[in-house]
Amino acid sequence: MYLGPARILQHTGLTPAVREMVLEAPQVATAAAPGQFVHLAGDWERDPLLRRPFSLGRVDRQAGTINVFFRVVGRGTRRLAALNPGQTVNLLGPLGRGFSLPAGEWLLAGGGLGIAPLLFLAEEGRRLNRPLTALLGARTGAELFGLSAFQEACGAVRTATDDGSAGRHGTVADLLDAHLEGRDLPGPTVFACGPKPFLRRAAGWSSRGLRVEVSLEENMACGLGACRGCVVATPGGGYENVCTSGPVFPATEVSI
Amino acid sequence: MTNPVRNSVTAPVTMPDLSVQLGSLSLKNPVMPASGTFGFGEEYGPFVPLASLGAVVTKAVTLEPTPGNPPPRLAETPAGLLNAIGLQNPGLEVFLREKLPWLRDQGATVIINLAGGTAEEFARLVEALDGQPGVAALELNVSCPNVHRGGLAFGTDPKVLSRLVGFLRPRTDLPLIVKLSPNVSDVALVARAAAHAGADILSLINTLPGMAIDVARRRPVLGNVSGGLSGPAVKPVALLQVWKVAGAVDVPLIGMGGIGNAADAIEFLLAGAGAVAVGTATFVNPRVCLEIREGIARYLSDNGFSRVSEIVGLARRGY
Repeated sequence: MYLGPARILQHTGLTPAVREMVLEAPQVATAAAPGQFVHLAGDWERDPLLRRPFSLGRVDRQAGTINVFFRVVGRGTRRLAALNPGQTVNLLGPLGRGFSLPAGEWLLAGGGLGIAPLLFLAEEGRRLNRPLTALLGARTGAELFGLSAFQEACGAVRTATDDGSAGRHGTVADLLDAHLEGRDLPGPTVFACGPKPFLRRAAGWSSRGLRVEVSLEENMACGLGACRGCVVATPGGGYENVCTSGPVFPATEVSI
Repeated sequence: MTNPVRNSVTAPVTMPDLSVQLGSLSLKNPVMPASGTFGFGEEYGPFVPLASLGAVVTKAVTLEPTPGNPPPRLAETPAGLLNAIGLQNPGLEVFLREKLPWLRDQGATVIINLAGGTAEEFARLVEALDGQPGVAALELNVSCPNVHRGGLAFGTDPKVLSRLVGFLRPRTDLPLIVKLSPNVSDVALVARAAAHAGADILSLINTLPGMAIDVARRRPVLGNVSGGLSGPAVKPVALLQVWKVAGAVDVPLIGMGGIGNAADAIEFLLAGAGAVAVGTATFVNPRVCLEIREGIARYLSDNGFSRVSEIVGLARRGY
């Protein structure tokens, strides 16, 4: 696990809403698995106080780089958005447990920033020669990102937007239901990342015999499992750490 | 802060002695993690040799497994962090079987934080840990704001606290640390009660109660509604409480509350704490305790001091 500075190589506004940052982090790139995350801090000292977790969006092991995608939603991401190539962030990672990489067909379903970890997963799936389908949703067409990479890696890519400006008028949850409805078992393994209402609907497919894995978000402090701050409830009672037992969980093992 | 002598080539370079003595408790150096921020040490093992810390202070151990509070449990506030973990831990039995042996193997000086819902629960915890090899001291958590029984109820009434400490004192030869709450009108009064009842060391402060509201959802952010505030925002409050308690009792103090760097830690030492604990800052920098230790060493040598005890309470001269 790496703890130290990482130089910003590129930092671009990928769409009006989504930013992409390419970081030089060879130790992380070598060790990282799809679904894992990195915990970033700038050189601010007290405000914002804590690190911010970002899923690994793309990893180039040869070049030793990792990409993170984010939207400016608060003080931390606003400070990150102001950083330029050549500056450094402080990086801790890779952290957490990622997606299982099972045999057979994979169905990648991501909404909003939830698309990010699926990019890394799609590239890994292509390397492993898995049959891949990607279902991607966003509020508007301008917020969809990574489409060309998904198109290269996946046999089929379908999109949906809340305002109908790209793809189907609807959500990624609608795409998922339409894609799976009426299919015979064994179906694909479903990998879902995005807003909670979508994850709940995706998790519903577990009861129809599909393996569904969900990637969760929660406010985080340490990222290492020490503080027990970022928990998710489990069906048997009690809580699991999102940072170390997840962020990816089999949908049957968490109460979303 | 620079001492001209240090730059002279002829001046002998002597490393200051960082070891501290808190009553009968000997520590290699005055810097330790605060309970609840360091798990049982395992999570930070990859970043910090645990034996290099003044001590490892464990997350609170309760008699039975404790699931903790419903999420969200964390809310960041300006220069602060609200938490409402609710003492989640696997309970005494698992701690003794799995966590303590591992800590012992690391060569760490182990301080175990204990939380009981009743005096009897505290007694059973104390008795179970008395005589366990590799335990340096016990810290009584009588100040957690996030649980509905025990916790704070023991730490805010001097009479109740005095009775609890007196009840536990004969049950162990280990040094007893009482962790004080800042949520009292006169912390000196509570501190005196704990010291007179037999506390060997006092640690302070625990977190301050607070809350945050999500204006978009128009609901409290924390699942528990209220949480404990920590981080740089609480440091001035903590420092004053340490200052007051240092003037009120003769027992050694472990000072904490918002310490993020060596200068912060030195403020607490100068106010009268014999050692310091670092909490929230560890979440940002897992190695911060070691960096603070080095910073204290540099401060001592830069200013011509040879040991930590020489600066403890130094800011109090004339007050």
